[in-house]
Amino acid sequence: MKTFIGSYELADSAPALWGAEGYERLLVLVKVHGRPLGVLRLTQNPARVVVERADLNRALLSQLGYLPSGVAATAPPSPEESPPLPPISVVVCTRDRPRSLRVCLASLAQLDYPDYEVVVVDNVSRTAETAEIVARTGFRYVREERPGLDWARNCGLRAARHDIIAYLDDDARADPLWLRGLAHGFAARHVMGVTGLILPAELETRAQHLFEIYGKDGMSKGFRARRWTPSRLPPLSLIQVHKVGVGANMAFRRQILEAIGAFDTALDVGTPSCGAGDLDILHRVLLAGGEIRYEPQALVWHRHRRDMSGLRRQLYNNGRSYGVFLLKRWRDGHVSRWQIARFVVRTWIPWLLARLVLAGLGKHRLPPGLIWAELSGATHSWWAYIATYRHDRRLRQRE
Amino acid sequence: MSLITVVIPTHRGASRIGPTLASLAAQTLPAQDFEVVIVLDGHDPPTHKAITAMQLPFVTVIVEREHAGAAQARNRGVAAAGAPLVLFLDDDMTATPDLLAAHLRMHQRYPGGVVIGCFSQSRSSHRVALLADGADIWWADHFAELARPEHRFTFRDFCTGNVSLPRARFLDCGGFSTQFKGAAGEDYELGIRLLRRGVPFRFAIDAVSVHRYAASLPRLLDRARAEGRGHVIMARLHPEVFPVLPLRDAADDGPVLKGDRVLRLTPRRLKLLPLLLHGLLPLARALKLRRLLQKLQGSLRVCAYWEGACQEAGSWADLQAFVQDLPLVAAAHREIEFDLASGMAVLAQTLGATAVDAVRLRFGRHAVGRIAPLAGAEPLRVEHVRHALAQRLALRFLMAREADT
Repeated sequence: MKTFIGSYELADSAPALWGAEGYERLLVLVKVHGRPLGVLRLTQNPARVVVERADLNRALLSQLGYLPSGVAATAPPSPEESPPLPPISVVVCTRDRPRSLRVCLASLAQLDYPDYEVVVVDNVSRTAETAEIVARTGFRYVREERPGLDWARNCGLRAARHDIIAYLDDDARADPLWLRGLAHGFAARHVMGVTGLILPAELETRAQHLFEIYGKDGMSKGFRARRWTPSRLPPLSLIQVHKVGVGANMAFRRQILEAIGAFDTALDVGTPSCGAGDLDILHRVLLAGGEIRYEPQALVWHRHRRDMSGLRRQLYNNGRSYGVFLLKRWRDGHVSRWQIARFVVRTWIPWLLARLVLAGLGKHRLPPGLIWAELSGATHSWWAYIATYRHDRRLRQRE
Repeated sequence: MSLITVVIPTHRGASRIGPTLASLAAQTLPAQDFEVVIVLDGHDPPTHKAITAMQLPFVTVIVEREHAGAAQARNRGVAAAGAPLVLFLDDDMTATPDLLAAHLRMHQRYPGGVVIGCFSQSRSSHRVALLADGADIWWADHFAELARPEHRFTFRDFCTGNVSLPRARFLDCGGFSTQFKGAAGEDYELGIRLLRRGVPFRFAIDAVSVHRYAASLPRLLDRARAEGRGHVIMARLHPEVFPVLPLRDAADDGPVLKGDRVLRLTPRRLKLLPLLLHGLLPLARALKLRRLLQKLQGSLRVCAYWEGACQEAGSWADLQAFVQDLPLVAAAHREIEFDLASGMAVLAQTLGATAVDAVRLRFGRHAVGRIAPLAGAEPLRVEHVRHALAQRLALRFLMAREADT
């Protein structure tokens, strides 16, 4: 079950992939001149003492179809062809996760980027440890007293100084070239949002392993750059925005966030909706006519929940928050209600039910309990929708 | 002036301390070369009387006014010690005549380190007793492992039963932590700090004592509970050792009982299962079902361990939240790459000069293998690398050497 996670650079000449001994499975990111090319999935005898470069090269050919010598011979990107590197504000929202935050901030301190700042938004942490950790790194610390991830994201937006705001989860770790990847996505001026590649940072437990199975490849959206241009988008894509990106790694231009009224504070974790803040903002950016790009060069490593109860809660929240998101779309009426109803009845619920049946028959790799959790979350989304907006009104009245 | 101070904490030990002191009076080391400091952990006239009645000139008695735990008592004992070396002994340990001399010999040969002695369990009868047999086997295996030259010492080798070290080193580290009240593991915790400061550990196979311990199930379960508590405290203080604690399971599927089938211990099962197992015990005893009895006792121990861990963390949910952020894999503080073509002498020099906890070995351009970091272990010595090359990496080593020439 345990999977070793590593990366190897085709352009350098390390003789082996170190540290994979004792693991049965390997997930290896292949890079060329720092740019991710794809992942290799290998199985091996755990008693094996070293994974050699030749093994990796063979897998590269059979799994991804690249001849290693051919790829490695490509010239490194020259400075002239690299896109302009605008200043970027990185916003990390956190609550009571001091050790994860420390790892996250350490990765941000080592970014290869000329001009960036980091704003850590502390969303009602119970202990002072978060503030102490941020103080030690020298990054900016702001506190948001209203509970809710979208409150924190908006607070980060206000505190940020630059015109591109990149959001990173506190349980993720950025690749040194992350911001360069985002800048590459923002190279054209009409691009309003960029989402990036998310790979697992750790696959040590059953729950983490199952989460990777759950989303086919966890949170990864592949290694090919993609774009969503609103004028050419079918209405269905506007509600299936989970294909565009994930909140753990997304960036927007300030002008679009300000134009559409920033994040909806009724949504995402910390509120009864339990998520959907990222889906909502991606949807609204597209609706406002902003192009969004998916840029695999903008890579972060995300640490999934380790325990089964945490995973069950996560899947429950996924079902529930997606329902809330659809209800919000139903209420605001920008996508035809007929389309939404058809999507729910013909795609979403059948997809959940089919998986449940398969799992019940033992034909699905996820245990039925987990799929049931997502389905039950979906059925609770009515209540969650009402509760989350009531909760939001109350928070706003308190001011 | 004496060479070594024996520190013995005791709590209501009137019945135990007699044989211990008698064995110390019969040492081959001359009586003027050592002293014994007994710390009474709490006001305890009967024990005090039992000690003074023996009229041993080398014994000092310190009385703690309140029961504060063995850690505090040992710290007080070391503070009062007059010799440059201290030896920790328990009040239920009989020293063999050569014990102190053996410790001293080892310190003279390798000054400045920790010397770990070994002990066997004394048995009052030769009848089969499951618990005692199990403990005997465990300790015998443990000491056999320590005696191997390629053994990599970890914090778990530092047990206060029979261990000595320079007093100055002990004081440098700040002594035993007093946070472990009602929990076990303050010795392991000191071991972590000693290793981190680069204090070497040695094992003296001839420094033998005899543990007069009567294993009983309630005592065993109390101990397991205390260990559960102690491991939570240890993970709080030193998250880097979490990967090697049994507590690590809490970050995964939760605690499990491993048998023919794996049983996950949910909080409810953790409450109900011990009741059921306790109910089955008399039956297994009456019918002399030894394997069943062994399994029941083992399962009860696991339950007690997790019960203790949950108690210390607050609740099962708190424990699970606590372990979410801890490391699951040992991380290397300093990992080097070494070309074996330059020879083992160079490697010995490198490892001697800096503390390295993982090595990537290659021969010329060919990868041989890696010696992985071990959580809470001493830095790598050349013996460790040599052993790995002779065993696990032997084939790769030969192949790489062949390919390179």
